[in-house]
Amino acid sequence: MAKSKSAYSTPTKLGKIDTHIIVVWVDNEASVLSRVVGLFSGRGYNIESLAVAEVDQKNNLSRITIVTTGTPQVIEQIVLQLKKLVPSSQDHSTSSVKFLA
Amino acid sequence: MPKLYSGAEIVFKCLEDQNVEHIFGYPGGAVLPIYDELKNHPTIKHILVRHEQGAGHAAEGYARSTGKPGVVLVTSGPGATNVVTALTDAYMDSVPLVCISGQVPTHLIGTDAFQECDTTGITRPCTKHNWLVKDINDLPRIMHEAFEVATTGRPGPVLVDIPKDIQFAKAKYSKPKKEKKLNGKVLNKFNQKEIDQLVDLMKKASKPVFYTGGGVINSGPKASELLRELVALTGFPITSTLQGLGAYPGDDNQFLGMLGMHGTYEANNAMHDCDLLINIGARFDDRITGKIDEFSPKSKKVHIDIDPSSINKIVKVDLAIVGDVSDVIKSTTKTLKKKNLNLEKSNKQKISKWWQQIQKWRTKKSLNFINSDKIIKPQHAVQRLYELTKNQDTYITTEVGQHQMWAAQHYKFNKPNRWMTSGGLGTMGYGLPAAIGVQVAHPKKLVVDIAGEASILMTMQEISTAVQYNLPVKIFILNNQYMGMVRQWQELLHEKNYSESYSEALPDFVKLAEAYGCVGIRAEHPDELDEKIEEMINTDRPVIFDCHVDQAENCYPMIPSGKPHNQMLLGPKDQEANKITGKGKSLV
Repeated sequence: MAKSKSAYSTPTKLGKIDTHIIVVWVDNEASVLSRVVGLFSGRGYNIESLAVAEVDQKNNLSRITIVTTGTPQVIEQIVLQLKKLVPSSQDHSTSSVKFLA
Repeated sequence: MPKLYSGAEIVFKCLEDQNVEHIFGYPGGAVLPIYDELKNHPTIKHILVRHEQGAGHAAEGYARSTGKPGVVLVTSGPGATNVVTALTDAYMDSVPLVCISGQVPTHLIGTDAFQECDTTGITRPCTKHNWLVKDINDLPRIMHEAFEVATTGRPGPVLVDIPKDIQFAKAKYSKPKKEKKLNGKVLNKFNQKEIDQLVDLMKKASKPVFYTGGGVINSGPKASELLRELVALTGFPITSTLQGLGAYPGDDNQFLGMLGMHGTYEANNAMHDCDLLINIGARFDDRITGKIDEFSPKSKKVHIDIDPSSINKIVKVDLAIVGDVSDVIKSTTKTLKKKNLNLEKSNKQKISKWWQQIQKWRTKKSLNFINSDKIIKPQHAVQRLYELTKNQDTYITTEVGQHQMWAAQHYKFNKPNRWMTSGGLGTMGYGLPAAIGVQVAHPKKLVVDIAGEASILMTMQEISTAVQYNLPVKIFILNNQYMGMVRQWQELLHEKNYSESYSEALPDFVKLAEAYGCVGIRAEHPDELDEKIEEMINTDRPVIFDCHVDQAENCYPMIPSGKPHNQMLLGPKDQEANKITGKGKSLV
């Protein structure tokens, strides 16, 4: 997991791998889960566990809770990439992605 | 009761409100209602391509040469899958595209209907965002949102998938909202404190270098002007990525040339030895960095980028400034001027030793090659093309391979938006359709696609588009009868086993040109090159120029895979001494 995405990196020192819980609030629309999960598989991030449910019917919000592992650099990337997904950023600005642990 | 419009009408009303003048596309069953509506909207001109990939690349060329989003219209199923390469290309190189695709009627989705595919599923990883329109009432909002997402923040492609029944259904139309949100997020997060830090680093630096990229181009022509001002003010050397060429004048003395795998010796060594590296709108791509662990080991690194996820993705930086390049440079210049009136003088002394070192590197003349009077050297062909076209405003596109690198090394760009090449994805076949897109946007300008004979055959059919619309694009083929870059790597890494990289059974390009109804020119000897190039430039029709070049020429200088910046191969002699072994062999 510590591997950088660069084809050129033959890392000499591995970063410390930690487990984190990331919570994403998303507009509950078709294919939004696949966007989030596709981001993880496409960029080679881990998903250790995943829970999804609608939490706010009025505002049409779902909560996705993801347990993931990675070096601090990878975790930072995961959060930044998640923030770029359009349905996770509409209306609720940057609070849509949150670190729990 | 407000007027109701059909889905197809709404599509065009949106395009009109977004000031779209040209769309590139190919009709088919699932977009027929939209094509039927085309005749009612004379301000929008449709360019019929010969393959949907060509539509995508043409729209990319259009977008990159104008700064406006390119618009693509394709049908469902194969229409959509054919455009995937172009969407991925645009995604990698941050080009704003809006792709509208037809889809089978909503009630048939999921039934494996004729020409059905999961378009939004397939294009999800290669677009910034995509939408499947299931309710006609959402269409106006989605269309305008599509343009907003494509053009704001870091630009990129988007796709709107419209089922055929939605194209017939009726709804109210509403104009786009005036205020532009940046993806619903504030991306200009930088503050004065960060700018002050940057200025401070600049003041302290004794071996600084600017490393600029496509972000400067994407930020608009103003950004290039501001960059030139900043570089002049500081006296720092500047190098550029492949995509950033043209943002700073290629023939200026402070410009070190392109950096990276086939960049100049001085640019790469400056990157390696500098003590302050200021990245403006570039992304530490692996073609640039070489071996990450030994990338610019002694420098403080500053990264200016509009995309927060680009920061610390590959290289950890000491100072990150998230914002639009124009705004950041403007603030920096302002702060520099306000605080340090005598900066230019004091700085010049401080970095004079650095410039001396750079001059030493320059004397290596890493772009030199041994010319011949018997056979056309490809580098010589590009140099002659440059000399004969530099006095007019020329737009250059390329395919992918050796010719692309030679074009980047030997053609000097002085203005932004004049250089269109597929960098991130490296799509062979990009150049011809891109040139068509550029020519559509700039009908009176000279547009040249510097091509290879292998790449050009991938999208050759688009020459037919050029002929149909009288687009006088010039296809300048450096024909060495090999997939040159593949051959070069096989020479370097696979003991000259030229497995399947020889182009057997090539067409006669002059006859091919005639068959398509355009002009074919062939040059085989250095003596006739200039005269033939002049003939090409003076022909007001599409031209295929078949330039026979040295088959064995390799592209130097080169950082071999797995090596850092300061271990470049300068020519064939170095190659023998520095065999690529071990891990380097497995890298691309």
